[in-house]
Amino acid sequence: MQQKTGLFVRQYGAGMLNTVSTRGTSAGHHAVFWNGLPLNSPSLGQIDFSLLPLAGFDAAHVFMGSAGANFGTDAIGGSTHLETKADFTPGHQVQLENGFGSFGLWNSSLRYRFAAGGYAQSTTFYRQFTRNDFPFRNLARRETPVERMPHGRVEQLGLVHQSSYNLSERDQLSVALWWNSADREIQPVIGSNTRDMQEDNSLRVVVDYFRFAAAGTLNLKAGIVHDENIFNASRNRTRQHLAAGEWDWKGNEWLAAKSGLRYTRAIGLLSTYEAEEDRLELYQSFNVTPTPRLGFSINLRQFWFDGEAAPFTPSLGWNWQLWQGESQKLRLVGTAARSFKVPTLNDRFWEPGGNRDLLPEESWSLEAGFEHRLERKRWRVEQRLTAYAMWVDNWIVWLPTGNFWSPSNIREVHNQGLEYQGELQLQLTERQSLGLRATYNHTVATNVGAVRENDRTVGNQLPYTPFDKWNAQLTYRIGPLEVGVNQQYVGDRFISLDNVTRVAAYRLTDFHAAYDWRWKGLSGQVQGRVLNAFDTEYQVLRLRAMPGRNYTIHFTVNL
Amino acid sequence: MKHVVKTLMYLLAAGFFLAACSEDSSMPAPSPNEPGTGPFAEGIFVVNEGQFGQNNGEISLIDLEEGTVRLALFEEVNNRPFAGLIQSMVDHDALTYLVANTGKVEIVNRDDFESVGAVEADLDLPRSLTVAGGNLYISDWGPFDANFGSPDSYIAVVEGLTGGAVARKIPVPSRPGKMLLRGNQLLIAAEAAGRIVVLDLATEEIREVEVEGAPRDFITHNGGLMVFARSGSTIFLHELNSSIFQVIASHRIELENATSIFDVHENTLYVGANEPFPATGSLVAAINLNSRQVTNPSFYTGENLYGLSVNPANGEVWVTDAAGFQGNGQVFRLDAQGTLLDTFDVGAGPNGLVFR
Repeated sequence: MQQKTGLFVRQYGAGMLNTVSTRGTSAGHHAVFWNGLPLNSPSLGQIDFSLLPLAGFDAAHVFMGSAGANFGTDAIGGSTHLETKADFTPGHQVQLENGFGSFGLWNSSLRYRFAAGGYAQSTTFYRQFTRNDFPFRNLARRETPVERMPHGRVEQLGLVHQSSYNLSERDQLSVALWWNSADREIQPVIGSNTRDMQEDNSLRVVVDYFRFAAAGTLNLKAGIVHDENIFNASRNRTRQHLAAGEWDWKGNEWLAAKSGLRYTRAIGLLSTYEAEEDRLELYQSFNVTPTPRLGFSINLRQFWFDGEAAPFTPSLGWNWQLWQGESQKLRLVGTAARSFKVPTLNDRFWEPGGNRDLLPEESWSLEAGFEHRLERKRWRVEQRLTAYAMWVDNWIVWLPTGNFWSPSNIREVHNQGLEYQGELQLQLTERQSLGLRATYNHTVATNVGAVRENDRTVGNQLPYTPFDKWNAQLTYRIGPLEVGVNQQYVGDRFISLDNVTRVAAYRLTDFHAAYDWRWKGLSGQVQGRVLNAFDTEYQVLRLRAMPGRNYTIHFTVNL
Repeated sequence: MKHVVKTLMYLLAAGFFLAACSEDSSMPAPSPNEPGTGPFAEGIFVVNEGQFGQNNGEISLIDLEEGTVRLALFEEVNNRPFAGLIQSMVDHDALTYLVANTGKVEIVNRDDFESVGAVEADLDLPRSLTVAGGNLYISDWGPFDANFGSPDSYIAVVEGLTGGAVARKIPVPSRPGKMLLRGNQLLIAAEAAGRIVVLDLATEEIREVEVEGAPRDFITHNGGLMVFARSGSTIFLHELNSSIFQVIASHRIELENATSIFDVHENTLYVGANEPFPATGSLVAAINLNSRQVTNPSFYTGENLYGLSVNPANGEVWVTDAAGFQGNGQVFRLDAQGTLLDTFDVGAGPNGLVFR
């Protein structure tokens, strides 16, 4: 994900807490959904991306930029939408995958898919395991010896099911379920001898009803998300119950609209408190296309939590086709948006320190960019350049207040940056092709509000936000064989807002080769990877060890 | 005569050379310099605890004349991060002990800060250290239990001044911290247990003295010995008998929202306090040790008070500010009247100073 998007993933170790930072915002400013269910924990306000194995979804869409008007709370910096998809191709299909790698890695999954008539189902069971005892330099000891990570084992088990049933030509009912259970030894910071254990169990179930009418599509949705986190002996549970309805009106050739209502009940059963919160959202959006070359989208959303109104969030998007040639298109796109994040249950109710008077964090953002597409006989180019500016206010920070810590709406941040994303496909011959994909992100996330007198952090870059990050991937394909190399660069990052200590920039190189095979009616793939091929010693976060060169080999068999 | 001088010079040079060689070959670790000769023989050192989960503890050195700060002395000299959370910095003769509650003690030359040894294994949450009779005595909370209690606290004994293995652990009541050596008796303040532990270093047997409040540290004043303890807004000064260490008198001082951050200079006891929630301010009160009256309830007012040290040479009060543990902290130098003289940016979570 980090390779394909401009996201910066803050990794607390291999297989450990992974949070994303979009456009210099914090982990809680990225909303994550699975089939429309909100996955960000209502108590923590964020999610650990390590707990979202690829087996849990068929497609992932990442949106950069403020989209609170589209997706509700948390989507200040961006959002990720994970989906399972029904495949109505008739028949049975079994897919078996096994991957082995360095440091005891063994991932396996079994998927069974079946479809007949108007029914389609897919069920996947997976297990992921790694001993994670990679060698690392123990900087905390004299002579900095290379040692094996003593505490980093990870095991995850999961089950994903999706059933879709066409009740009639116009009605569809579908159910999706995702159970994931992770058991982890928490990798200590270099210099600490902690042996923390963490267990995370999640169950997500969603039922969707679709009515496809001539005038538009009606979607009724009901779902639950259960999360349980056990850190050593401390057990925290949250539940979210969701009921939603959306009417997607096709309209006419120049106007379409979407109206929706979402209700969520968030229940927290935490180690120090119990709390419940009702959240209600009303939204309306319009897509206006006055001419084929010009389009606007207008989104309006009002959100209430516990009877309190969150900021009213409008957004306006536009796209204007500046120029169209025989094989090229150049579009100008832009958005102005307001977005917000409601305080988490922990922010409001944690004992001690929870602050019930907290206001939602809110942002204004503006972005504009070019989209260029070129399609010739042998080659294709797609690229996008975006510049953005964002103002986030009422940013919540926990600060010590005497004997305990308490949150307040104290920080004000101004983010601006540039994002480039480009892809080139070149068909060399009938059997050979070359692909190049590149991303570049420049992020300036500045603290602008003084928290106290003589605040030395005003004007400084937010911690762990690299100014520069780029990724480039080159792939070459000949018939069933693909080889590729990927290089990723992450610039240096400050460890705290005072901007004194930095963690060094790093550049990682990965190689991969994949071969699609067929044999007697069977098919599949063999894929090998060399990750961190030059054995670069690096840290994403200071003193969090990361693995050096490592290998994986992955087999897929379709029956 | 010329020859004699020349010969003498050769001899002297050879002598130095030999001395240097023999010193190099006979000592496995760099030899501790005599105190008072290295670049850091004098100075004002700030103990920066670091931020929880980040292990960014360090020692900062303040140059008062230049008004400059060397932020991370340990890494600067030893080319590796300290990688721990520093509780205490203890000078003893030519060595300095940096006690990290992340389970290690780093030992450096007092005057040049070069690493000469460490205690790297078999410690849990060490808090402080005392040197006695060629041994190191390290107070350690022991591992946390499921409720973050410390039922298995101990004093770890290391035989040898430059570290090495823990030879044995002497169980003591919960959460031993600061210690005071009196002859062959080691006094230990066990904060959670509300006890003073008297460890006889000859027999390694302990005796417990119960005190009111949570004992933090020892005060020597007018030749007498006292324990500073606290419970809520009550400060206790327990006077101890100087030979058998029994409580002979206890005094109570009321100070609203008092903390256990304190230091003493001559007849003045400085104690930190918090403004009541939701205010986030901090105060330092000045208390007369003879009358035990609060003479100035707001000797200093500020925010995020985290440590307090008085320079024994001149009575200047240094207050540390952890800046909400959001990053690096600051220290403020005050004169004996509480007037701010200087402010210095230091490392993360400053919890006290050491003056040489």
